[in-house]
Amino acid sequence: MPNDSIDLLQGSLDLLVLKTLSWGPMHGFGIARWLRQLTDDALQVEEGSLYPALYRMENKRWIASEWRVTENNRRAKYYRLTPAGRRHLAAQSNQWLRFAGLMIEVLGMREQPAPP
Amino acid sequence: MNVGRRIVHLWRRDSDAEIAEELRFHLDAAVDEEIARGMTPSAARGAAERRFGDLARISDTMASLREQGDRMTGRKEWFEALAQDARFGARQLRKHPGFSAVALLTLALGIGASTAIFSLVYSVLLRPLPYQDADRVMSLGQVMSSGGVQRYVPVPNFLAWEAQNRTLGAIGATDWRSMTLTGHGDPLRLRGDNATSGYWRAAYLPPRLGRYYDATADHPGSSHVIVLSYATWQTAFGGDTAIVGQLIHLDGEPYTVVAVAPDAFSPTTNGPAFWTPLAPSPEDASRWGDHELTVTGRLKPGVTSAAAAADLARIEAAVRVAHPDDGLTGGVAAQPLLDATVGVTNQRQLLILLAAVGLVLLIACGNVANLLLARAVSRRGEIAVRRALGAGRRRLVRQLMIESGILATGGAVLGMGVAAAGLHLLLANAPAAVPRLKDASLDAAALLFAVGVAALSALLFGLVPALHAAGRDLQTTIRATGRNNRGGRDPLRRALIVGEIALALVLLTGAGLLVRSAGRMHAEPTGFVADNLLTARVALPESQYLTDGAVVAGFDQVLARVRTVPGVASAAFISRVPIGAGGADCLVAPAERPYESGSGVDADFRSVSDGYFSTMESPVLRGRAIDATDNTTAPPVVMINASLATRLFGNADPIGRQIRHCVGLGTGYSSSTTRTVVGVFADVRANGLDQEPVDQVFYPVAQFYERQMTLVVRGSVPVMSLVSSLRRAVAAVDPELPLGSPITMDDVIRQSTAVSRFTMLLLLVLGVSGLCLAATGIYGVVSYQVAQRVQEMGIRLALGATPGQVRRLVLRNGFTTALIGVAIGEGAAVIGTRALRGLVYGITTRDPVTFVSVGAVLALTALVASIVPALRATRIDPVAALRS
Repeated sequence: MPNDSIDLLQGSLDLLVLKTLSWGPMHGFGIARWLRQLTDDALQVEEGSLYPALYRMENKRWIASEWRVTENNRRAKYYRLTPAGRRHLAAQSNQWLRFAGLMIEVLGMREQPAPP
Repeated sequence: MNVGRRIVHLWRRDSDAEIAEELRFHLDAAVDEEIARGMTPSAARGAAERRFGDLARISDTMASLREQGDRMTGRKEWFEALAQDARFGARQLRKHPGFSAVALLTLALGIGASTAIFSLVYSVLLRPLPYQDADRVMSLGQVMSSGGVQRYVPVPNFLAWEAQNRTLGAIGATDWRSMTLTGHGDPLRLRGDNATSGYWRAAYLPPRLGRYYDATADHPGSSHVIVLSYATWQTAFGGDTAIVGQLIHLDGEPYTVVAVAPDAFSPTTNGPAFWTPLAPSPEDASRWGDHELTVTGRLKPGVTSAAAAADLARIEAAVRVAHPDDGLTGGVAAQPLLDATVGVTNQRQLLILLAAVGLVLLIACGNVANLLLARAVSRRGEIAVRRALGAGRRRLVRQLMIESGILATGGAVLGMGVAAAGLHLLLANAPAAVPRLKDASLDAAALLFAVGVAALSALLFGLVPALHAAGRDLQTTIRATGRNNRGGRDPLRRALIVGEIALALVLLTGAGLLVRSAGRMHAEPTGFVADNLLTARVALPESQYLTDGAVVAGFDQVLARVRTVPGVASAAFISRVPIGAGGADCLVAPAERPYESGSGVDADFRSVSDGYFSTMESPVLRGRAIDATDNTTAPPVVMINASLATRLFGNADPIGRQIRHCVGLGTGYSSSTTRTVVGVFADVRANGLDQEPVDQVFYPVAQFYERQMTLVVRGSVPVMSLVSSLRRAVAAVDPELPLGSPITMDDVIRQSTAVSRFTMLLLLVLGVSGLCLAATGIYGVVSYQVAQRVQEMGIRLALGATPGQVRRLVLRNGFTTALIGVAIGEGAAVIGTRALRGLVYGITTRDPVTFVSVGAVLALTALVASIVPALRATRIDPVAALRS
């Protein structure tokens, strides 16, 4: 995969993770499972690449982590959104939606529009 | 830092294990999921690992990201703690407004004063000259046998240097001339320079307008061109931008303006008003031994000043074979033009002031340190509790240093106000004689200095108290705080006071020496009465007053007219008034026997008109004064002063004896004329108050005239009120004659000592400030000791000690501290005041009167400062003291 598309992918992965966490705290495996189910396995992402993204976002103070015990009585590291993360998610998803809307509109056109 | 955060932090130390655990959980969960889908455990492990990707690479990435995050957190926490400490410190300072105000004020004075003085020093000594590559511009002179530098170079030597040097990119020479500008309002007497074209390339700064003249102007008889100074252009021509190419008239001759020099060109306030070409004639070029040119050179890139000096000395050596010049070594001195401009004496006085202000700053820091130490005592409890709660020593020192930092910052901010006001005051009283002083301002360099001084003083006054407070043994402190009766003698505080007193003594001794020296100087008889005496210059231009007779008649007419002005009691001419700057001297010898080399006496010479001695109220000791009968046709006569009379004729009566003037020089100096001594006058301070009287010869104006004379007028009314009527009187003789720089004789005297008086005044102000600060310090320490010993005093009083005994006890305490300080200070002053050598007049720098009286002043001040706390000690109520 050429380098320039990784950035885009990384940015979108961050956004997907933040969206996932907007429903509540979750550990890494849980996030991966959600992503798989939500996108019907369409995103061919190695699960491992999730963790550097999580750490990076934690450094940016978008998410915070703490160790908790799962229902199965195992220790797992849970991540949750911080207020800063919530703001970032709102701003970024807005931008994405506008961009995607434009792309859909243009790509969906059937006829060449009249010249201005 | 709260406990939870601290524990989280501990976990993070162990970040590798944490990452491994997080990933293990993920893989285990994935394996469970695959098994739930029906895989065998071993196949499920493989599938889970495939889904995950490169485990080693990912955990490495995670580890480095974690580290990065920790670093950021660490830095953030450090800043948070700093902000917290700063807030805490500010709160502490607000809670003790009295302490904070005194500390801030002390620091503001210290930092402000030093910044103001620094800006003067920077402006005069350090700020580069405005010329291009100013560090390569050199003042060139000849080395004298006495070790000094002869800054005036004969024309032929300069021409040889110009033609034969290999190290200079440009070399130029200047000498000065005065001319009268006419045709633009009142006639204006201007002092300008003649400059060779090389001068414009040596001291290069692009012209404001036009172009400087080039080498074609260096030949005699070339066209009359002129470069105007910015000031002349502004004042006389209103900044007319069309001035280049115009003809203007100076001394009646037309000159074409070719350029206007930029404002920055002249480093001195009274720089040249114009520049005209310097074109030596063949006759000039053969005047060996006649020192008249100031030479400026620009070093070629990469050439050192020493190399240039050696190069020129090589040329000198060749020249000297044919034209030996006594008194010179043949060496050449190349000194940066900046140093030559500022002058060694000015340089020294400014550095002395900077050192003095540094001492005041030190005293101020000592006082603030003392305040902090005193406060540290009342904070002992707080500090001990904080240490018990786990604050480390380092953190405590940091906390206390931050408080000092806040104080220093506040002091610096207030200090800038003090500096601005101080600089304003200094500049208003600054002597005009110090070049570049007037341009001093609180510029970037001064601000930088203030910041540096503030930081340094925070370290100076803060560090010792902080280490002292934080380093105290925990248990003894807590125990002692309960019932505090062992404050007693704090050696650190006493040492600070001793230091302050010593420093103040050095300062005051320096100031005292200068005051005594000025007193000595002004007590010396000047040889004339300066009250209500006006001096002004009158110059007769060559173009209108062609012959000797015309000049003499011109001065006669002016004098006659001036004497008719109402309010003028008497008036006379002299070529140069006593005290004022400038001078010429020549060898004089008795005419009775033929002159042989070495028998002449070097004497200052001036010309005077009739009425000079009565106007100056200068005594004539023997014979008669020069009078109106000593005209051009009368036999040549002179007057000599008492010291020259003794030197030439011993105790014999000099009246009627014959002398020759300027013996051993060329014919231009009329050495062949023998002149009769008709009178002997009392010695006067001819060259300045601080200069011993020199041997002098006075000629009648009619027999030895100069084109520029100084008019001296004694008024029967306040003499400055006569200026306009005197101007009209001169104009009535010749409307084109200006009356140059009218000034009272008192002002002439004042200006001649302005620089040393300025230094003296500043040093005195600094010394008194230091004294006041030290007195506050003593007062503080003694009060503190009394407060610490309230119980002890109470017991003493209860056991029958009289108030007098208690008072003596306290006084003795303060006084012994002061005496130690005085003793150390006297020693330091002996060394410190060596810097004043050569600046004091009539006393040595070890003047016992000054040393003893300043020591007494300090001891007395210490005693006075201790009296208030001592009286307080006697008023202690024994019962209350014992109960507390």
